[in-house]
Amino acid sequence: MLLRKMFRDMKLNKTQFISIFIMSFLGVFIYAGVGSEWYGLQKSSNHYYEETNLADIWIYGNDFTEEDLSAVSKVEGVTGAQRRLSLGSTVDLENSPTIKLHVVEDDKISQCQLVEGEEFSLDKDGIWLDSMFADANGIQVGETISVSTNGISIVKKVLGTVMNPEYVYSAGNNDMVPNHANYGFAYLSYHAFPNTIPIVYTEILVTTDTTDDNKMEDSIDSALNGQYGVYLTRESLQSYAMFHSEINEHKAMGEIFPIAFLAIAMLSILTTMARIVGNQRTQIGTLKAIGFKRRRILFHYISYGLWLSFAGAVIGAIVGPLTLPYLFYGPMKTMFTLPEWVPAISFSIVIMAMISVVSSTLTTYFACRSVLKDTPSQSLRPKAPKVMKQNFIENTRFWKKLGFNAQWNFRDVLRSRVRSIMAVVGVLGCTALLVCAFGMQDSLDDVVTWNYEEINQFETKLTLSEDSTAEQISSILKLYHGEMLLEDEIEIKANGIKKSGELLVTDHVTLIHTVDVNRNEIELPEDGISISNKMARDLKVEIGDEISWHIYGEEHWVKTKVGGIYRTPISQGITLTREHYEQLGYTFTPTSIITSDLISGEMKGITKIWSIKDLTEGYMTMTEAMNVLVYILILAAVVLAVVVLYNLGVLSFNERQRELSTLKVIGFKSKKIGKLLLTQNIWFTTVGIILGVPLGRWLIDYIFVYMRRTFDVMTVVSATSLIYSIAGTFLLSILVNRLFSKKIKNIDMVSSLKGVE
Amino acid sequence: MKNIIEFKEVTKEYKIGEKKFLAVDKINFTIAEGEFVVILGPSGAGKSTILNLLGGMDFATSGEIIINEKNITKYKDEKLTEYRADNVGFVFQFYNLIPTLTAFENVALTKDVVKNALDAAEVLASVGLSDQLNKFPSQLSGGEQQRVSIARAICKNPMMLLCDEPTGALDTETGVVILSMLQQMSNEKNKTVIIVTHNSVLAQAADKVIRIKNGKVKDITINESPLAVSEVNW
Repeated sequence: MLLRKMFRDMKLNKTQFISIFIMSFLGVFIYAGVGSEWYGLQKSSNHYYEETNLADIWIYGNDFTEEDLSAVSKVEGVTGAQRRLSLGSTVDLENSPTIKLHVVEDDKISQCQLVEGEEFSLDKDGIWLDSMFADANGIQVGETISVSTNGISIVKKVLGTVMNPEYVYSAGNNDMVPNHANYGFAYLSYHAFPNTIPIVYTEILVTTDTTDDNKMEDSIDSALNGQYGVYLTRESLQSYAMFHSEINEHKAMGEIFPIAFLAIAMLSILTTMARIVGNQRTQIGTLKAIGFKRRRILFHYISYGLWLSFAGAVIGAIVGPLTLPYLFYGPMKTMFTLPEWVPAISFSIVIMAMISVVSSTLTTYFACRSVLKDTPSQSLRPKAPKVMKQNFIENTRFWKKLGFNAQWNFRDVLRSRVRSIMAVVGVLGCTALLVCAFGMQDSLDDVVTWNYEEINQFETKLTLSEDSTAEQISSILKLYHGEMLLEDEIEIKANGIKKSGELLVTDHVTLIHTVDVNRNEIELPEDGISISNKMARDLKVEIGDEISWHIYGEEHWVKTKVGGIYRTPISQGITLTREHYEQLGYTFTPTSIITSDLISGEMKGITKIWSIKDLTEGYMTMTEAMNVLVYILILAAVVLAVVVLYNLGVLSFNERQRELSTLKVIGFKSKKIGKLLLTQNIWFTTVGIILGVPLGRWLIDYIFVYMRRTFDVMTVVSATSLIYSIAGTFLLSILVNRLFSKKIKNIDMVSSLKGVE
Repeated sequence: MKNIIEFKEVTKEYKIGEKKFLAVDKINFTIAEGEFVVILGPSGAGKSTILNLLGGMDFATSGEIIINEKNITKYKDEKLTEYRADNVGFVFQFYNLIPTLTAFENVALTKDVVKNALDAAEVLASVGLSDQLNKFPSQLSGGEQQRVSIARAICKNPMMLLCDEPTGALDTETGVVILSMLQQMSNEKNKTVIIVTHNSVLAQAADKVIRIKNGKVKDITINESPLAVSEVNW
């Protein structure tokens, strides 16, 4: 019978119960949806790494001998090591795409996973090609391709298309986003390499079972007598790091939002149950009089919260993983290459669902506890009205000037504190989510403006081919008023911290501007090196401190003092002038030319022409997965605001019906009463917005933590976004309020003023 | 007849703010099995408090309440609930039906509390409501609601029925029907029926009348030949 009573009570108070349901649903839905998304990726990528035995350490050098290999193998903790030669090469196709050609001596570490064709084998004479590259360029298994590298041309039959764990994120040097038509990889057995040319192994791949990275690096360093260029761990391998920072970003946002929804669900439960239990005082008394045990009555009321949050949690935990991950996977597939994209349910989802149910149930318990404590005879009597004490403000002259509207509202807010807090929290949450959503978009857009309008003011960037001649270069320079750059990858060390970064050497460049930490334009010193702001912070250095760096592939470390600090969003590293670079003993060999002319087509000595538009679009694709989140956030904000405010409206309207009828009887016009309620609404909305804006900014920072490990993104919330968020919140709040002004007109004065019961 | 209820020097004190207030002041009386008892008194005299104490809905400040040779003032909350469930059927002035349950469900609710509850449909039929089983309280008239409330009380097959102004919210005609029904319970089924009211006319129908004033027993009269409720001149 009590179960039937519960269902009918729920039907009577459906708005409140639906809102409790929606809130517990949303919390678990987002947590489970986003959770299964990243957890699935983590799980399948880990599985992928394990199955293909992804290397833990990559050592780059000029020529690793067999002795080097065995020395590394003997290092304590090393479980496997193998050599390979990696060559940047060009495939003989119309668009002359670049591939990394790996000539391997063994096939135990970082194995390829077959997509089509035959399994990789050291004994077969053929090439295995990046499956994404093959697809993008329309190359079939069985076709013959020609690859040229350092003047050698290798012609091989494609025996299979493969994926490789080192290429989960696979972008060429100038691409921000993988462009599989332009960049890929290929595998070749050392037997298949033309035997006229001796193989010089440039890499050693190592697997290890220790976790002590520093000790491992030291041991390998001494095993090789320091004769190597770069030592990379998985965390510093771009493919691995990019993918994992993406997963971590999703993890961060998947964790913070459910907490907000859960909090709202608990507040909804608290207000709703307190009201229901309050209204059912006499019913509780009756049940007690009949002889129901207190525990059973308590359980009856607790079960309201229990079943609703249980239903919400279960449905959320089921629907979330079935829908949300696929929204993310779409844009992510353009970024990452993985054999499978399957969401997975982690145990933490079950825990989150349980937390949601338990906290809702506990909240219900606290809401009901007090009424159930009374003796049956007390609960059968109507509750004594709350003693209203005169607030100290009410004695001031200021109070008397306030007028009825403000006075009434002020007392009303004080009288129903939980409800007021809930209203503010609802509005606050709505504003914060909107500010966060719009602000994230702003901040990501800001990177485009900053990087491609403020810093890089060229129109076209020409990548020079390695074999371009001095004549070709100087003719291009003349023709387009070009300026030369040298870009390379370097490793920087300071204060015991090692980072990889980018080197930029400029030759009287005017088209690249530099800004300081606050984005004011600055000139960098010409006779020293300058370091990017993020890199400086990562290495904990300031102007005047010493850093050492070396170019990848060279063993010579340069020690210099930091002469300047500049801020840039995307490529972190150091920059210096050609003159200073040459003073340090290097030869300036330009890698690209920038110009303010718009150029297209092909020309000799140039491998690729980039317009600023190409570069911008590349960046935009990268942030697409973030856009999905933005839409989810906006939707969540609207649902949150409507549900919370409507629920509160119904609640407070019912509670105050008697009071409002009294006002009506006295002669207040419906409009005036409506204004009375609107005033309170505006108060709550204003306070909510004031608190919500900073919270929204904080949310952006929270989500960007992982993104900031690679990029120096500034949190920007534009004025337009602020106005949209604030206006949106106000609009929602007033719209919901309007739903109730009709109800005021329809208040039946007689019936609502009849005696109790 | 055996005395099954005895009040010995029972006092109930309420505190309202700083002030103490004696709702019931050292009251003594006895009630026998199957008696039809009317507790009379002006409003605020302490009648309802007596009923609440008797029904185990409130705790006495001092004194003893002996029911079937057991002192229920010693009972803790849990035991008191059991006492209520097994022995007492309540009928209230405002019926106190659960608005979200139908007439039948309101009565059948007692099955959740006592093991040997009577058949809900039969009990409702006995109060003349066999056609209204599936109606909600709001669809029933006041008299009908009170009959559901009586049905709910008897369904538990309790030793006594405690009725607090059971006709207070009803018109006279309906009131007579309800009171006759209660009198029958006492005469035919040997239930102890105790009615609290301020309407002294009902005294003519009672086996025993306890008059209360200012929290004290003013007098107790035993009516050797009570009238049937329908014969009373209202």
